[in-house]
Amino acid sequence: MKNSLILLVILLSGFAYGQKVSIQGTISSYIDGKNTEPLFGAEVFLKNAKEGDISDEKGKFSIKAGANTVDTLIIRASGYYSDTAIINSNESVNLRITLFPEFVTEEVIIRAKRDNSSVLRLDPRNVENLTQGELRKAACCNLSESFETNATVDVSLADGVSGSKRIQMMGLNGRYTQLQFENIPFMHNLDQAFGLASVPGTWISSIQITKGAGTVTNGYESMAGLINLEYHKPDNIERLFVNAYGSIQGRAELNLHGGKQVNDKWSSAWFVHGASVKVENDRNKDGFRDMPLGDNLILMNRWKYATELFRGQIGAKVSYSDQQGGQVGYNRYENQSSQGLYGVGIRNTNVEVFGKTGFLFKEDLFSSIGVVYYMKYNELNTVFGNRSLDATEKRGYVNAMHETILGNTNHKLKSGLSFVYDDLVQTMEDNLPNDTTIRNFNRTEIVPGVFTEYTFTGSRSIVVLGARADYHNLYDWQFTPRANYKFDLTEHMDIRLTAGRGFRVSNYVTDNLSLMATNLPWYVDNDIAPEVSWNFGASWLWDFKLFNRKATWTADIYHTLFENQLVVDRDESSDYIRMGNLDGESFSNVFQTDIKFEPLKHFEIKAAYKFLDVRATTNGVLSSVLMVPTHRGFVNFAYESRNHRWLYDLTLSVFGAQRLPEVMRPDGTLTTDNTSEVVPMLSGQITHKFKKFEIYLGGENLLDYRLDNPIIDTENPFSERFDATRVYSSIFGVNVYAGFRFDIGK
Amino acid sequence: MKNTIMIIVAVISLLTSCATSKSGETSKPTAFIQTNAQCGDCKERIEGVLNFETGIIYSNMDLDTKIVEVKYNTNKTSLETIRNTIAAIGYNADDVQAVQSAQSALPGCCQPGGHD
Repeated sequence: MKNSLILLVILLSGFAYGQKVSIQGTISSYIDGKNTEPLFGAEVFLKNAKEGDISDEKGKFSIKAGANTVDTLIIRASGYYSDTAIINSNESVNLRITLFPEFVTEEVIIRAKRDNSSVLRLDPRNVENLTQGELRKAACCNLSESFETNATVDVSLADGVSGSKRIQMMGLNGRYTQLQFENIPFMHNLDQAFGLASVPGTWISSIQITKGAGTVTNGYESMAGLINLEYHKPDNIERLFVNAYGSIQGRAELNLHGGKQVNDKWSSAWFVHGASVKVENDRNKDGFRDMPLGDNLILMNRWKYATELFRGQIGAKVSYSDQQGGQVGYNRYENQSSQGLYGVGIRNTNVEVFGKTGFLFKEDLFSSIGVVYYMKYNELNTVFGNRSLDATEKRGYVNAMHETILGNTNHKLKSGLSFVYDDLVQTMEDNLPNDTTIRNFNRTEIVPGVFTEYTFTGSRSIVVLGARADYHNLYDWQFTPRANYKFDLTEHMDIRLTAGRGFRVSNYVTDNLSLMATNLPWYVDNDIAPEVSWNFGASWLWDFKLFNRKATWTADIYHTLFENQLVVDRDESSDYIRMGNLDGESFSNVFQTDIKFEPLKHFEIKAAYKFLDVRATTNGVLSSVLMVPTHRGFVNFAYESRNHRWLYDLTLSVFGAQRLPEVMRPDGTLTTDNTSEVVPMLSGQITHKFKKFEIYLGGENLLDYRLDNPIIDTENPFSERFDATRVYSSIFGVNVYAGFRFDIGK
Repeated sequence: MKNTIMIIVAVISLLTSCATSKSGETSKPTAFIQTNAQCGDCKERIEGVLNFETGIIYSNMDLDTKIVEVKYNTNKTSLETIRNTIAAIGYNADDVQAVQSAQSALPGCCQPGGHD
């Protein structure tokens, strides 16, 4: 970090005495604009004199050295941006230094309780940070629902029968957003469609949303953006946390986690999530469940080992989910021919093992080596009426990264090697009225890669240049360059620019799983090529005072251009769905602006507007992509009582009109209402805190907006015209939930 | 859309009115207690305890002056009890000295002199 970012106050300039220099001072950690706290365990040393000290619990240090030339004092602590100060010889100084935390430092995020969502000012990329406080504003339930009070990521139902939700960023399907936990990429292939439900909301300590192409160090797949989530860490977790949740939809949920410091080196944490829906709801009386019944069980155990020069983490996560939707009365595990009911069954079993090891060096305090490991075994068994998919995936990932500085901390270099192995076995069987096909889609990807990323930090700007080269066993060399630039216009205003390439190997089966909820056959072209995109973006942020309190206004614009894409064409014919390579143009242009301010003390308003122009060439014509609204707005009111014991939240989201697929009705006419209505979604929640626990009561879709008959031909679900893919909003209407959280401190 | 706005306005006014309806009664004075809190952590510790004590309506620590503002109900608690509560967390409260064992259990940054 540069001198402008440190608070360096020379309190006392002593006198020169002989050849000795004495440096002492205190090191603090930045909390917010007003507060700091002493930083314990920071390493302070003189670069040339090779003398150093470690700050004590009051943040104090002192160094005596026989220096006789100008020397550089280096201050470094794990999880913080390092800093340097130039020390003239023959001077005794007393320094006060504030270190700024890196964005994934969970301790700091937890301290900044009052700021639940914010753009990370120091990050060269446009990164929005959501904390537990923000996630608790909408108490339900898993990762796909964590973005309810956020305008960057849009969540909608994937189809009318599976109950699964999909996310969109920049109007592009969630598959173009790279997902990672603690900087480990995950949710590939089989997890694509339903994996978001395997991350319980209460396990997450924070989420970082990066708009535009992310860092090259974690792979080539972030095209529209990158979402990173941090689970609770073993060395910073409640001893016991209990959350129970119930809703009038018949959903019951129990979340537990806890952990402890085993000794001064080891700490561990465990997590349990159980959820169940046992009540059949059919409010619109179309004979179909408004949401599937199901059971979920997810477990995780993780360990952390930390010494002065070595950090290690290892963990395992097991998730089992079994959902059953479709016609009322359907049971997947009973004889199908005697039932004669259209059913949707989704069974997803996932075992993940992950580890991290980090090495620091005593002689070279600015360098480190980090190795990340990830393995998963995933099994997916899906039934949609007379279509089924059985798939297994084995994935392994290793990433080794070396981090160092070039000369001083203004120049940082990360470089490393990565290796991906992904083995996919998929069998999709269609027994449709017009088509009987068995598709075997097996693939093994082996991708070794090399990457490097250089960061220059100047007094007012940061430049990040990154590139990676990967050798894909099926698609040869892939070169992925990316660049970021941040410039501070003033102390309170900055702009960011980003440009980068994204690459992704599509999987027409799991990318389009929700299209199994129709009986139209899929025509899949041969030689599907991987998807390649370029993303360019600019964003602007202004921190200012409004009503004498802090306010933030941001605006950004992003352009994503596809060189190739797996295009789903429903315009060519209403008798089938074609999937093939892009032939023509495909792009997304998105403008978004957000404002956040406090008109009254403890009362915060957040509002956002987003304009989306997302088009792709289908049937030879450049037309709007299906199910993407052109306008999207959002306003959130949050009030906290003076004693912090009552929290009120109210959120109104508006989704503008979207283009819907034109499909043929059973009587042979085409649908005419091929544009959706404008959908308002109002949700609210009240939380009351007691000494050791808190209770909450909330409602979703309070305006009771619902689609009456979104499924076509519910009478004959096995016929050729049955279609449940035109669902763009809730079928159920108002939902009310309540729950409690109990925790025994750290 | 008009209805939507009406509902929002109604709900907000309802929420804010519940939250503010408690002011203006004579048996609920506001006390200003001088402490030796130093940092955001201290503020959280003190408010975190006081806000959940019987009879305390709200508390707010001003770190610039180290004075904590406490609004309380005289029927349920007393100024003396509040001072003793603060002392039991490990901080001085006006003329009541911090409980030594609690003070030494505070993290280094919150101990007297932790920020000197």
